[in-house]
Amino acid sequence: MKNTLWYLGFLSALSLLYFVEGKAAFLGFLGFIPYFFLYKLNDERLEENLGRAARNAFMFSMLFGAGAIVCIYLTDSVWLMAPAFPVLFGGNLLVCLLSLLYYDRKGG
Amino acid sequence: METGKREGREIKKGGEKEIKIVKRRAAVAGFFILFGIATIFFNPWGGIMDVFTFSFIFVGGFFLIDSAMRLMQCKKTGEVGFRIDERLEMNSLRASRKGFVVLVSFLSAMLVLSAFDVLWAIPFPAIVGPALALGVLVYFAAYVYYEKGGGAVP
Repeated sequence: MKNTLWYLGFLSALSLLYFVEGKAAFLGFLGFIPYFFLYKLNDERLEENLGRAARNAFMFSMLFGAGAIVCIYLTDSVWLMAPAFPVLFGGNLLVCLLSLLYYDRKGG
Repeated sequence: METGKREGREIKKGGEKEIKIVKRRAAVAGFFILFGIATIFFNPWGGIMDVFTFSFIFVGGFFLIDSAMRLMQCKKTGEVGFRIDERLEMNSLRASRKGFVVLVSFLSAMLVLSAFDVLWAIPFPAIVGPALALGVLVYFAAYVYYEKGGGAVP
């Protein structure tokens, strides 16, 4: 059985758009490559750790996304919109991978 | 005697975990309500964004009332009214994984479109609001699906 998070690895192909558009931002999609290594992780403990990591990242995006929207509404500042999106996106990946490392080292 | 003590300790520990979950749920619900109220007062776009803000208030209010009732019940009886078992926890984790994959994929698509200047005129809240709502919806749908027995954990 494949792990659901494995599919996120395919998003790394979007980094090829760098060669089309020349925008370095597309290289950020290379951050999805580690998800390919999750393909064969069917061990129950690892699956549980993956679930916890995904839950943490999910909660981060919910709280940060909602917080960012409220901040933008309250301050009415357009300049906040530009950094909020990459922080939300990159933060998702970071929280997921760091949580996975943490739970793996902690031992479940 | 010793077994009884050990059993008693385990039951107490399990109850603490569940109380912690109820308190965490109440905190998230409070955040959802605050978010909803703030956006209702400061939402310059109106229309479809109002639907999202009301759904946040509705979900937050429901969970806040539920958590408050469970905490009050816990004060009286010492039980919060539910038990966390391994299956329930596993289903919740699997559902959040599905929600996370959908959310990240949606955000990636938005990022690509905005890099191609397709979404240049659409503000951040109008993109992230529906993305969050979609993530929450997928989470609940997957959770209900797993709870009903689809793809059950052995």
